[in-house]
Amino acid sequence: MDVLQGTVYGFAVALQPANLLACFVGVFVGTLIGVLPGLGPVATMSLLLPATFVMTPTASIIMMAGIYYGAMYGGSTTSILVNIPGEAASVVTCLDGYQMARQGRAGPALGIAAFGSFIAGTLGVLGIMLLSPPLAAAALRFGPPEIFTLLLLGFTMITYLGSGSRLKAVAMAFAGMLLGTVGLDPVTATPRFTFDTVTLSDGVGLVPMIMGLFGVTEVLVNVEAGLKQEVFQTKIRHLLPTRQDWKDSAAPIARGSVLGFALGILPGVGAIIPTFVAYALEKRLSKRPETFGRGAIEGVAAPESANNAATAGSMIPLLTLGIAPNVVMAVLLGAFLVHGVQPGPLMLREHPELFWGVVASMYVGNVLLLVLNLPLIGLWVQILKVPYGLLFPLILLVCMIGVYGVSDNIWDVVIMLAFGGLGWLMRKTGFEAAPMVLAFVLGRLAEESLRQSLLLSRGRFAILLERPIAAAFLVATVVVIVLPAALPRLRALLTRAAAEAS
Amino acid sequence: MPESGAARRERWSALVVLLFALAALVEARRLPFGSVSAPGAGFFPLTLGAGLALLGAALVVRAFATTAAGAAAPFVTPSARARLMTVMIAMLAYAALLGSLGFALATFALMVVLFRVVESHGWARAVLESAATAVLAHVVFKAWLGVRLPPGPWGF
Repeated sequence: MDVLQGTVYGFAVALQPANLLACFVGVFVGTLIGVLPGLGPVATMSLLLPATFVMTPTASIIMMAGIYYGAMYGGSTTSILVNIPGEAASVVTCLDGYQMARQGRAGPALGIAAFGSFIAGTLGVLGIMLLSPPLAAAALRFGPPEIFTLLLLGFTMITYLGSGSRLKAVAMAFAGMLLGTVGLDPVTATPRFTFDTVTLSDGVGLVPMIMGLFGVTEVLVNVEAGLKQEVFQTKIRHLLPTRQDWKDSAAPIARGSVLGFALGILPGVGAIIPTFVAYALEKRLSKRPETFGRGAIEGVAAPESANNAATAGSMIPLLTLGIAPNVVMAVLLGAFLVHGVQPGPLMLREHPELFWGVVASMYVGNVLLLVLNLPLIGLWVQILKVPYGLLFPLILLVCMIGVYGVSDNIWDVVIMLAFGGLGWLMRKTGFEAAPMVLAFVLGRLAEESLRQSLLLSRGRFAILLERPIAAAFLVATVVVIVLPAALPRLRALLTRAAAEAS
Repeated sequence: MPESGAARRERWSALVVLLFALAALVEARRLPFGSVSAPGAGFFPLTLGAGLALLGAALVVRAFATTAAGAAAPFVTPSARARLMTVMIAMLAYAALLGSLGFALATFALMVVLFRVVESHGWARAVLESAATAVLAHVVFKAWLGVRLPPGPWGF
């Protein structure tokens, strides 16, 4: 099936009533939780995972993906109106978005965020369609050594791209992988770290872990701080940006889209980092950099485009390689597995309705979001006025019902609470949860591929260097490790050379 | 010289990581290691445990080597601690009592605690809000979405 056929087929799948409904529910819920601070896409997707058991795999993945990019739309609303990021990837949008709102330009800020997201989302989906088939074809030739070295590269990048201490991030990745070994050994079925309990023989559940580390922890942090939000009182009008606004934003939206998409593909990047990079880039390119931070519309357009394009980009490694590049994709991977579908190079051939249907649904979803968002802004503003004191008991309740509903096992609720407390302590001490969860999810694949590689080579680690693709991944890993250390020196060397030359 | 809260936090957290790694190592040693050419169940956990132990040791060394000066900010303020403890204990109690009280009643009790104690809503308001939440949750999750939640002795 070529791209054109695939696209037509995909739309036929995505426009089936059940899938269309799933897409609508996904983007609606996504926008809702994007608007609400303190409940992100990760917690929401794990929360709704049990509800998708009764749906077809295609419909559930369509809904899950919709929550993710829907949250990117919703997050900007809170950033602009409240100066609190509704969602982590909208932190940068606060800088200029809130200033625009204070200057009475909340309408154009919200409008350009929605249009920018729409354009970026659409371009991103186009990127997935063009890039995925050749990548999946290449990945079909991957054996265990290639998979293991690719994962190694992914892990390395994950630890680099965190915001805190690198040493701590690496430690968390190791701890996450260790937690991933709990349960029956995938090869020999030997129980590991189960302490003779039934609950642990299935391993630590992904859902309780994520709900604990992201849902419960977030609530605890907010309960501790006593979050109070002030909605900026303003009449929102003129949502449609003016001709001048468009002129200012067109290039930033285009650059933000390309940048976000390219960065989003990389493991460990997620949707947050591209927004920072896009903002910094626009500020550097701008003829009026002094307006940034004082309500420059480019400062809203670029990061909001970047985060939507990044969500599309991050789907590529999952759909073509079966590897989750960030935590949200890890949850999505979990959703695939729950439905008995292994995403990866074979999916395109074995489940074409799933691949093309999901990708086409992202087009549909982006249109829905644009249609939903502009008229419904008033509704989202009302939701922002719900006090947190009313909200957080409900979030906790939904977390507990969600976890209990998946497994019928009350111990999973206890595990979730334990991870919630652990996550709070980790926040307090500067350990990040993301590397832990990612390593937890990818650890099993890493272990299997390493053990299979060693079996293949009869115990020689050199196999990882003898196969060209695997060797390339290893070289890339070394580059990622060495480059940041070497870069400042290189730059110093270059500036010195330039100074001498002039 | 009194050490700063930040430095103490670094040291304790580093020690916890190291201890966790050592505990994992002790447990992993009891698993069959196999050989490098045919790795067994213990191969990966043992490698990871050793790696984490090294990382933990590095964290400990770094935490004790640097004397981070800073304001002695408390780890958590007393009032926040009380709120957090209440939330955690209430949720653990919920998990423990869910089976015997049944979903609706346990949820009602949990919500009263959270609304009343943590958010200091008045009694009447907290009870009303909690009852509404419990009924709504029952209708949405149990009746509508069909989540299997334990019934209490009275059947709800």
